[in-house]
Amino acid sequence: MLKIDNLTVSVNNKIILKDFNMEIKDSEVVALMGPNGVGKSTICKVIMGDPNYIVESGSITYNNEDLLKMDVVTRSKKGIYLVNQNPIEVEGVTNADLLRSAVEEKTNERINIFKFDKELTGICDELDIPKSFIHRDVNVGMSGGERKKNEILHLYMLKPDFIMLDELDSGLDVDNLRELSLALTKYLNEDKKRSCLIVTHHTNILEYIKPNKVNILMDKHIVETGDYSLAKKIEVSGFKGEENETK
Amino acid sequence: MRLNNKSIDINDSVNIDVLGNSKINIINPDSDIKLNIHLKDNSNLIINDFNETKNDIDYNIIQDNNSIFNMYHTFRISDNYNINYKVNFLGNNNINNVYIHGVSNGMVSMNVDGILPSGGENNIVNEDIKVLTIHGSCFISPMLHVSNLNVIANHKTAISKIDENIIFYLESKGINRASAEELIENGYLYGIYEDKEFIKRIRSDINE
Repeated sequence: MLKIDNLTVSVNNKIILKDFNMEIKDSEVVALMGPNGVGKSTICKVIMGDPNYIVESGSITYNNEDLLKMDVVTRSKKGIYLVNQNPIEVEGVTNADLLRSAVEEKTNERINIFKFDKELTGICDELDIPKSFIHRDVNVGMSGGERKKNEILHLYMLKPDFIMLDELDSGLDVDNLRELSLALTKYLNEDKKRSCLIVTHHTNILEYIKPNKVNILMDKHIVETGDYSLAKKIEVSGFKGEENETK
Repeated sequence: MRLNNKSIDINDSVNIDVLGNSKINIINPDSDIKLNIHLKDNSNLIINDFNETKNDIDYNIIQDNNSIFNMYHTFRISDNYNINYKVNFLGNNNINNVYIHGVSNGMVSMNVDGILPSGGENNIVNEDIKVLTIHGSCFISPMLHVSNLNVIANHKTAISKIDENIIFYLESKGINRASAEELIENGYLYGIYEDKEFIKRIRSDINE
């Protein structure tokens, strides 16, 4: 599904990632872990096409297509989705407005309002999200947990194939984390093509969404790859302990 | 003119005494408008005002005692546009909330004055002004002249271009830039109205 080769990325003239390599296959869940500030979120932003991040060299292919040649909208329509760490407020634009526009652009057809409303309220029921979210301005006045739920609501409507969870667990209480993780696991299991990149520096979320692979990011690139047991080892030794070991 | 528990449309300059609970709607006036409005004791007035013409508007509001005034004014302008708003509190225990949001593709000039003279008390005035300058400019002079005792006075004024972080967020959902800008603009134009019927009327007027 996604292959990153020798990627070097800078932001504000500072190199954040250097010769970064990672691969995520269809139906894989891959965790990317590392200490604060090493560039974990950067890789999500670069994949999504955030113009603030400059790709200095390297390549990213998505389903055998050159991702770096695509703009943000094309990447989204091809099935890439980012659950933001701190979803932004969009005053004056309701969730219904946003999703109507997004679905119409994706399908290239005017939506049937009744069908759209029915699907949206059905998803709210399934995710235990208040229906009042539908007509609220996007993320305005919402707590961190509510914003993350909102992102998952959008995900369920837009039906992407490749999902990036940028520190989904930050700001979520135990119950919300469990509920959202279970909703995501269900979503991923519905279609064997769907893959997921989980960016985190805790193992809590990985208790619910078990990764096939765990990558440790330090020194601007991946320094170690393992299975879920690597994440449990980090839980005990910490990233500093792991850094000493890899040296 | 006296307005007592009524809802009316206005398309012209007028002097109005308000009693009871009333509403004034203005959509795309045919000429410049000057409104002199006097809220008598215990009255309640809502003004919904939408403008895509270049016709200027002057509001002169006076509030006696225990009155409530809420104004929701939005605009989208490609020419020169002037808004002058003044509220004068003659008495006590009044509430005045003014929301002016708009999109400037021309040149907008706004004076928004709240006058709370000495002798009055327990008045509340809130000004919330937000203008998106896409291809135009805007000048705002928001003033609060406060000599009242025990007053709550807030003003919030912002002139901005479109936030590129919001554009990126909407594009990441698959919404192209032009549609994203339209969504944001519509947010400025329709987002503040509590009266959904008024929004329907605006949209219907635009489509004609």
